Amino acid sequence: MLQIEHFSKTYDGKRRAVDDLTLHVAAGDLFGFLGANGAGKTTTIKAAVGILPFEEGRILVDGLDVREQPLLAKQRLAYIPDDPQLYDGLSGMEYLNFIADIFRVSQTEREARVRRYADMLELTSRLNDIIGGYSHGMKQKLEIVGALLHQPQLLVLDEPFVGLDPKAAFTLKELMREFCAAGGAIFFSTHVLDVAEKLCNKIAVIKSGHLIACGDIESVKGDQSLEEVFLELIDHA
Amino acid sequence: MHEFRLLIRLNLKNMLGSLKKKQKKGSLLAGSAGLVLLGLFLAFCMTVNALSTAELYRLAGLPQATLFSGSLYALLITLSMAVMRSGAAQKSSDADLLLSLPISRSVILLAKSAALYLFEAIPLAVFFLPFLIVYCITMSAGMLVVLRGLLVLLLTPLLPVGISYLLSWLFFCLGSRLRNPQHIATAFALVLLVAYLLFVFMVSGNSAAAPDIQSQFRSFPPAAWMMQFIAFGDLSGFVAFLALTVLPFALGVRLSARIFGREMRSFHSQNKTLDFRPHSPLRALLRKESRRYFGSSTYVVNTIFGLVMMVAATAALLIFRSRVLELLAAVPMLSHAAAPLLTAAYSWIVSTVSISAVSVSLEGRSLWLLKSLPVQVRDIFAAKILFNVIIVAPVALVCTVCSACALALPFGDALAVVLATLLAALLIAVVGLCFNLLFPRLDWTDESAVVKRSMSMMLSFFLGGFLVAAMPVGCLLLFAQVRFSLTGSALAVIYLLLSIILWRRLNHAGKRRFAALS
Repeated sequence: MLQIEHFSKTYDGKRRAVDDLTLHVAAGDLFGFLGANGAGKTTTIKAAVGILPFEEGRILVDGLDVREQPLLAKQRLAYIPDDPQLYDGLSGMEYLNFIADIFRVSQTEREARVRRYADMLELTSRLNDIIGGYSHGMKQKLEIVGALLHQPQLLVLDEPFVGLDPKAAFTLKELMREFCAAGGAIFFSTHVLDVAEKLCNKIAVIKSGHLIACGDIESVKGDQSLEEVFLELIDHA
Repeated sequence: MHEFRLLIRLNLKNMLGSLKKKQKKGSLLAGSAGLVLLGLFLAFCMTVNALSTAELYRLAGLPQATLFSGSLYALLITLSMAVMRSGAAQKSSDADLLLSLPISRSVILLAKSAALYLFEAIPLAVFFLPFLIVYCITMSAGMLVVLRGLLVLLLTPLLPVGISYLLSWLFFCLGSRLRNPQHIATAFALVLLVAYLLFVFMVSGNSAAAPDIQSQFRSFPPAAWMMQFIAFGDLSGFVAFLALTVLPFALGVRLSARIFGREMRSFHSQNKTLDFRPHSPLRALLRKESRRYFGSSTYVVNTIFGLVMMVAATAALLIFRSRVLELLAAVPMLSHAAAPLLTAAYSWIVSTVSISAVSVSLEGRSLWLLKSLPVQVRDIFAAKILFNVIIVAPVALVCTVCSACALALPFGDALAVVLATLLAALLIAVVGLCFNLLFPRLDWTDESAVVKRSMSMMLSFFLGGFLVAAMPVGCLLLFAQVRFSLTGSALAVIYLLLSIILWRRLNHAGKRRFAALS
């Protein structure tokens, strides 16, 4: 579903944020992307969803090159950034209608999906309120509903659990599992190693722009906890 | 006092640091040079104005009236700046940090107001100093007059800062009772804008109608106080002026300090009906632009000034139609110039409504959303340009048609005026977007910094405005013997062609620039 091949990104022609990164997220995968702050996770994610231009390597979403066929590739994915910056002057419902209009989601489908996901995340009663009055967590919930509106095949999430209350975090984990069980793929970055350990079937660890581990979670961590393996990799790789 | 000094130093270092970090050296230099040139140009215009005013009043035997004129300018500029900022809430990204420190709220706000004071003082100096200098030179005034003039200049910026603080406080108190607080701020600021225009009309009307200069002094006491103090050292005038500037400032700081860092109570909608009606992607983008625009009072007030001015000018033309027609009949040359001058004036006004010039910058940190959606960049640009045209064109159409009728222009000339003005609006919208892509500013924390002081807005306002105002005047000067129905139509075609050429550039170079934005 997501193929990143020999991807490199250099900022200002000097600082190499990501160097020759290759990984593959298949349909049904719940793929965790781990790394310390500044390791290159967000750079990779932004390039994968077509936000950040890059020169080296190739990124394919469902076989479509994000640089050559960006619109078709974006039709198949949804992205949730780490910092929920939305349009503060719109109401939650206006934002969701905007997303649904861009993806041309029919009225009946959008109504059914908005009601389902907003109810699950306990957001329905606030959908007519202005986003500017939402808390960080509510904005994140709205982003999650917006991301699921067009039934994407690939979900790309950057630190999705930060700012969510425990119940919403639990609901999101359930939604993620359900999404992958239905054949979708999720590629997400996180610092919460416990969550990654329990949720993911595959992980990749990146350090200073280089991939230092990648594969099935069991093969990467062996008998140790993910936290121990992660710290070992970060300290010694 | 120690904390106040520390905060001032911190704000200064932070401002300089952010300039160094975020601006490329070349663009910083170009921007600074542009601003200096603009300031010099304005100062030159004001000096010419001050010289002619001084000569007029010297002949009338009241040379101190030069200072009255300068003071009146300063007060009008001051009030317009306060009105322009009235809808903007006093926000600060470091509010939580500062409030957690052992510093009183008033001291924090006082330190914050130092930057605002500077931003008000510089334009005020450009408008007021030429009058003071001209008066001092022509009257061979002593050092005391100069010092009193400078003291007045130092006090005057406190007035707009104080008024804007008071209005922000009022807006905060009213805003928390509404679904979208920005709407009340927008409406409130527009009412102030209309009131301000009425005041300016009253000032100019009184100036023209007043039988003698002394009666004008009585009509505008604050300007008269300033004049009396500077010219004659009148202490009662000084005390009155001091009260006028310091009291609103002190009250504004006091009241704004209470709300500094406080989030406006968020309003819960009682309407539980959800609207799921679908729209086309382009209409969705247009609706988003519309919500973004009308959701920001700063954005609306700073870009709609021209439209209010256009309606006011048209209304004035309709009211004084017979007098204008008499004037045109009496001066045949003026009659011939009516259509091109009308086009130049309306096109210039249209150029001040450059909504697209900051539309990319105002996406700010939510730009990721547009970039991650499967929508053509061309459609994003089209929505931004179209929204600008939708706001301007209906008003411009009605105003140009009414004015053409009021001036009894021949049909061909009237059509040329309407077409040229409408296509000037289109060109300005395209030019504005081009400038914004060339000079984007996405890392703002206060949107008024983008709307009021960004390079793209300034360039669009001055270069775009100059282009569309100079072209009809050029037609008049170069092709005096040709009917305006021909030259005006040609102008409309040129605007259309320029718009198409720039649109094509937007779809190539502009697209690449948009993709590189982050």
